[in-house]
Amino acid sequence: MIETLLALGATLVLSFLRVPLAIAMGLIGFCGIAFYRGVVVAGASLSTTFFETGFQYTLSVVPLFILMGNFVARAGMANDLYKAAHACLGHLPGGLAMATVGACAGFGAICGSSIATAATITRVAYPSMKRYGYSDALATGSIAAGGTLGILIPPSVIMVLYGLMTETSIGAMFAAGIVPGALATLILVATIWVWAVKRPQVAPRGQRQSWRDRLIALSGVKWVVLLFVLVMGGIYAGAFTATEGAGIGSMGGFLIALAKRALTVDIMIDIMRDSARTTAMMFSVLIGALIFANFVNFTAMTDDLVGFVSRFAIHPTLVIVVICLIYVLLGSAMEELSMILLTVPVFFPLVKALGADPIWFGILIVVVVQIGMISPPIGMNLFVVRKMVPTVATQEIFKGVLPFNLSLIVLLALLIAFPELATMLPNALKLNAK
Amino acid sequence: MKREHPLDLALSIIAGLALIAMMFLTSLDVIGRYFLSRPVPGAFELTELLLVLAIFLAFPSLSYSGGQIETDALAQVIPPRLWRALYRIARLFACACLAYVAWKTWTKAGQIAKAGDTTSALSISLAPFAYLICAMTALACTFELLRFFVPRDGDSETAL
Repeated sequence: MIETLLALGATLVLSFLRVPLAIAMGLIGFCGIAFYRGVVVAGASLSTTFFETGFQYTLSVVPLFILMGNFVARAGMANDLYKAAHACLGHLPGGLAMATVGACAGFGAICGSSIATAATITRVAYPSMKRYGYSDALATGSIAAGGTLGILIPPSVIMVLYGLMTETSIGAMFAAGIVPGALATLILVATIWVWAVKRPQVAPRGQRQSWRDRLIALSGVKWVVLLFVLVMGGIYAGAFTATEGAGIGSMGGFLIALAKRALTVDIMIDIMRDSARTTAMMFSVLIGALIFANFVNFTAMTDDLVGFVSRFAIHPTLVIVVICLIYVLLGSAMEELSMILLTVPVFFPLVKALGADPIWFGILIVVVVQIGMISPPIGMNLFVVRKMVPTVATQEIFKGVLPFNLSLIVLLALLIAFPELATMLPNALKLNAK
Repeated sequence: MKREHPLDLALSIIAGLALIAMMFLTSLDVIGRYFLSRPVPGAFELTELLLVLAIFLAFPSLSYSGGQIETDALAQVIPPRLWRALYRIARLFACACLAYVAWKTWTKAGQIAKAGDTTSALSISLAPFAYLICAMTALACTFELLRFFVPRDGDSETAL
């Protein structure tokens, strides 16, 4: 156990000293394996990990979902979503911010990245909220928080990576995200409502729109619905695998963008370049984490942890709570993707040994990542929003996300208290067996 | 504005083209299977080869344009001069690690070439792809060294 903790500590120290996380994880993992089995074995294991990660069919699901997200981000579908949500919710207290969260939820259903969701929604929602005189804190906070729905509502790149690392069915993970995703949307909307009712000056009321206008606006989201039903329906019905679903989804995104005349040569080049770089970035972190995981497998970490927990008869729920606490704290100082890839090999066997449902734990991890993404000072989504609206002071954004941070912690607590929220849908769809 | 090196841009775009090819291939495979009862032959292994292209052609770009995930948690705490010095030290460090990886993958690629490994259905030789992994790692290593001498623009900026 000591070796693993030392290795985790060393990885963190290296990364704080500006060594890229992928390299820090890979190096420490390599040194650990060399310590147990010698440098020759460690070297061979290193190159094997490189090759096996590259030549692996199932992993192609990751770049295909990234590509799909980049296509739908450019297809103008966020605009349609925001118009529809605005028409329905705009007249309520904080209605425009609610519409922002609603558009994020809809966008999350066709995009698996919270960064892409936040960036895309900022472009359509921020100018509108600004025009109606919304406070910057509420406007940026609701975008940053709503953006995290991108990874809770399927498809989700984080769920894909978790599924691949723990050999949990990706289809089941996607199904498990739907109820918590809807709940998270409601909680965020409720937070906005409370905020806007208590301080009406932060969110001037909009006009109520006629049902006719609403229906027209709602009909604009048909593409989003179609794409979601096609991809998720196909995966749930067993018509195709998650990997094939990702391919079909990116193709759908491409065709819709084409039909809406949103693709120029320049935009196409942008999409290809960005998708490829994101892919390379994710895989380098994944390879580093896999080398680290190889090392953790050599240590007796899991047995030690399980022994520790059973010796003191610690309640499984308490263990989960402690793990979530560690994640929330770690997440405020560390980039979330690497945090998950680094720690899942350590925690997952423990959680499994305690008899917890791997799907449920996966959803908890996604919510923890959501919280981390909007936790000051280094939450990824805060950075995205800050970059896109440079006129807003960082402090305003921090102030704006705080209530949402708390409401996501409430969501996490609800999920710990009622695991059925995550597990009932995959159980009902009988997706666990796969 | 971002200044992009032509080589960096070209490699990323080719990697992106591999992604697009993967998208068409997977879709055609599914459509072929359901509507024409004829899946694309070897779609599985072609996807794997395209994945290797997509990941590793864009890999040096991370070193060139700073696309790797790094932690900025201490940016406000550490004095700016030391922070910049750490950036350079980290580049040398990354360069050394990638050099080792390049050497190891070179050995492995040699084994694959010697054994004459091919994909099972289409008998495509794996050696060029193995050497590509090695070459791209070596290029990333070179870019890290370049960044030691010429730090990238806006390096002193912090995330937030």
